[in-house]
Amino acid sequence: MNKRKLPFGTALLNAPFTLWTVIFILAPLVLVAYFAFTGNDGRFSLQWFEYIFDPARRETYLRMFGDSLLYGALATGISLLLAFPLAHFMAQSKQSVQRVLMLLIMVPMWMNFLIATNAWRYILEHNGLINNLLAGIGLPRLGMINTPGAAILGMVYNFVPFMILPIYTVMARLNVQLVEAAQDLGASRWEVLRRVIVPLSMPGVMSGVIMVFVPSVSVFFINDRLGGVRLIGDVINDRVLNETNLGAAFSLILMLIILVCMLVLNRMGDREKGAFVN
Amino acid sequence: MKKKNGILSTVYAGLIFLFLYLPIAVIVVFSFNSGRTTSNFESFSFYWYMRLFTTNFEAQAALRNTLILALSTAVITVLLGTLAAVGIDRLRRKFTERIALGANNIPLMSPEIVMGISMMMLFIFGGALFNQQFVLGFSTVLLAHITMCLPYVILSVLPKLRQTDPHLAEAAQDLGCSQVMAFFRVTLPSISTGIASAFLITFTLSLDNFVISRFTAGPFTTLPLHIFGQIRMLVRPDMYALTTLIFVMMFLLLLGSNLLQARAAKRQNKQT
Amino acid sequence: MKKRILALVLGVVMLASVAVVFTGCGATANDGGLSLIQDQLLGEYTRDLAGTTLNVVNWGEFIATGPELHIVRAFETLTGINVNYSTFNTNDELHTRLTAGGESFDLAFPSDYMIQRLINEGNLNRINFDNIPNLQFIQREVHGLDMLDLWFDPGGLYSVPYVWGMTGLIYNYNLVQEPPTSWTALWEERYAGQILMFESSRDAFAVAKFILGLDVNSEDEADWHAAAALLRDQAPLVRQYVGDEIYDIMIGGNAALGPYYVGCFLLMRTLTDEDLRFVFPEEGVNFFVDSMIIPATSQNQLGAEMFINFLLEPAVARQNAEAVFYAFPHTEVVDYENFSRRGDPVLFPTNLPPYQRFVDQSREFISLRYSLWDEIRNIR
Repeated sequence: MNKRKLPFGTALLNAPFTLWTVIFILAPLVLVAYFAFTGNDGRFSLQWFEYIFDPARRETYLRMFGDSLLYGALATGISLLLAFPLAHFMAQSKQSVQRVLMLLIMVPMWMNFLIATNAWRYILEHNGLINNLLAGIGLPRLGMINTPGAAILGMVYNFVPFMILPIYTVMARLNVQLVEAAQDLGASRWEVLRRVIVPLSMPGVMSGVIMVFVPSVSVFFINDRLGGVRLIGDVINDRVLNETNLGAAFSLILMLIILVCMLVLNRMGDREKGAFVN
Repeated sequence: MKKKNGILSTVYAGLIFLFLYLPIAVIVVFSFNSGRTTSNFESFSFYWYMRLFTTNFEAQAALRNTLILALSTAVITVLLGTLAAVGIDRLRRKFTERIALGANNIPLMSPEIVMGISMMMLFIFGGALFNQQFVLGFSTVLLAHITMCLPYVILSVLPKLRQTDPHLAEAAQDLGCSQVMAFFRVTLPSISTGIASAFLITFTLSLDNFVISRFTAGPFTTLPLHIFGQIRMLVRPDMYALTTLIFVMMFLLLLGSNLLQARAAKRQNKQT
Repeated sequence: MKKRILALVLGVVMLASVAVVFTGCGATANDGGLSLIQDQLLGEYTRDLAGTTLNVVNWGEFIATGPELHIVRAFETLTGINVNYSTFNTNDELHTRLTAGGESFDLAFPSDYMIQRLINEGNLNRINFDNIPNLQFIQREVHGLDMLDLWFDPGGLYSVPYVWGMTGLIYNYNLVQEPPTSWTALWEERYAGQILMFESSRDAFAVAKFILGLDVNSEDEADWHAAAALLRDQAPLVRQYVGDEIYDIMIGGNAALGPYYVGCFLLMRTLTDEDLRFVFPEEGVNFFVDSMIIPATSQNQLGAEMFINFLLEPAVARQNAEAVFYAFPHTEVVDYENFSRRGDPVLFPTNLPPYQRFVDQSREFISLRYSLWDEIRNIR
């Protein structure tokens, strides 16, 4: 295609990234797998997986993985529902307003999640900000803290910028003429949204979903502190310091689950794309 | 021209921003608390800001460490990531490209806690290979942060490269530019917005990272690590004051860069 | 385009440099309050080690940091040693950091059972007490224990006690129907939704075992299952399993009662108008000691011993005891007439209920405890 390119140019350009990937991405993964399959005696062993799937514990840990998936999916879904209209709103704004809104989305990301969680606790507490306001106008106090809802709120709060930004980026690039053409052809606003904007935003939605789902499934601390909900991330966090190999086994299972979810998502994404092309 | 937003969608956006900024408002207010708690406002005072600037040496050092780390991470990752994106863009075989992109996705799909622990293992193992003890510190946390941020850089630069017309660079070469010169004169300007946003996101991710730093930073205390140590007993308003200061600094910085951008955009509009 | 990036990069660089200059100034101007106590120091602090580094790791908020005395800064000013001070949150986390090999530490402050484990593993250095003349101020007898010959370090070869304390029950006088005297108050239906419980499985199981009259260190599986059954019964009544958030919850009057450590209660009491009180439940409590140790990875043992000696200086220990709300086994603190918590009945109780102490346990039982805890915490 391009004669003037040096034959080894591409290889040379890719060398640093390849090297980096092998040393810092693949090697740690291999280490995790190695530890997960190494017993207390230092030899190959399935003892950690036997421990996790021991009949006495199986139910607990399967339910925990299930809960993590459920909470992760809920947090991702809610983030998507919140983010999509907002991204649309941003993309429809004036260029100068868009830049400011972008900035306003990024600012909360600089807040340490420990600090944010502490602030949310105060907002949701029995004698907290919202309940004091409610009591001030004579309304009954609500039980918000230590509920599954609070856990999901904390997760959504921390991860929703990662949903907004990619969707917005794609929508901002979206070809206005395409929308106008659809309108000229008599499509209603709803149809334009369904037939043009949603399908064209899919790449952004996909990366947003990945970037929210992965940290949500492996979340720890936030969910427990706000919602009293303990998930698999908390278990890993607890165990890995005491029994590194067991922690590695839990991590490996979690990564497998994430991988499967991603593959399923990818399939769905492909079908979406295909639907649009047809 | 684009369609304007209706009242309903403006209200909706307002509500989301309220959600995003409610905790920030709480943090700013309680940073001025004269009392020692973050839940019981006594009276307005600058006490915690004073403490921060006078005797809170640990917080000062942590802030300094964090800024140095975030800056180094951003610069190195953007260089490395742009190079990688250019390399991936030139891959002509679908198969190799898929592998490269797949590898790039691994850190995005790894839970942070798994990444942190596995990188700690790698560093200690690698140190042992070279007969080095006590390897954890600035350099290891830097390597870990670069690894964590690299996919984001590639994902923001690569699409811009794809949009760039390859014939432009070829034309430049036809006109006598060397390959390298063609890259700097033609390709780089057209991907610069991608690079700028990559820089910003990398800086942000590194600044706020706790989980990966916790396992790889060793004695190099970053701000999130310092905060985690502090809140064991009680979250004091000084951590809120520090957070507020970071907001203000970053806000000013972004506002400045935005004004510059707006002015540049205006100039460009005039030219065309 | 290029200019924009340049502007952005320049901006961040400027920001970073401003921060460096800013903090750099403050750092040299202040001696941490050393001048106020310098003439009261008893030990000899040479500057032979000036320029060396001392890696210290301690619990968060567990040392005086001003405004009157900033101990680390004062020590740095006095000796010229650069103290690299970091914090840890759990004994397990500290254990990983001390033994993984990624870091070198010269001084750490773990709890009793963890010190025992570190000694058994050969991960500690013996301390040269010739360099710590201020050891003479250690209070020898505390509740029948010799503080220089403690259960986790017989003969006191590897550790110097820093603070001691106990667990107990914190309650809000206005939210309980009658002042509790027993751990079983945490199981009472009438307080459902108002009860806090330890998030740390070690402490939570200890509470259940006190009620059952079992050994907290038992190596009999049946004991652990019995305690787990009790904790399972409690789960539906618990408002939240807590670590440090107990402060905000109790201070704000959001819960009626919960178990925690005595020092934390004393700090909590100073922060609120709520009528918070503390009781040592009759079934027994956990007695713990956090001691100073020198890890085997130390590269500056002399500096560490100098720092231990400095911490034991009467003038330093008094300030430290005011800032850290635990009991220092230090004669010049306990007997000091101006000590604000002198003779405090919670900090220095005269008749203590029977107490138990943690010892290092086999991995098998730690693992059992964790998996039982995962199950209990999964109840809804």
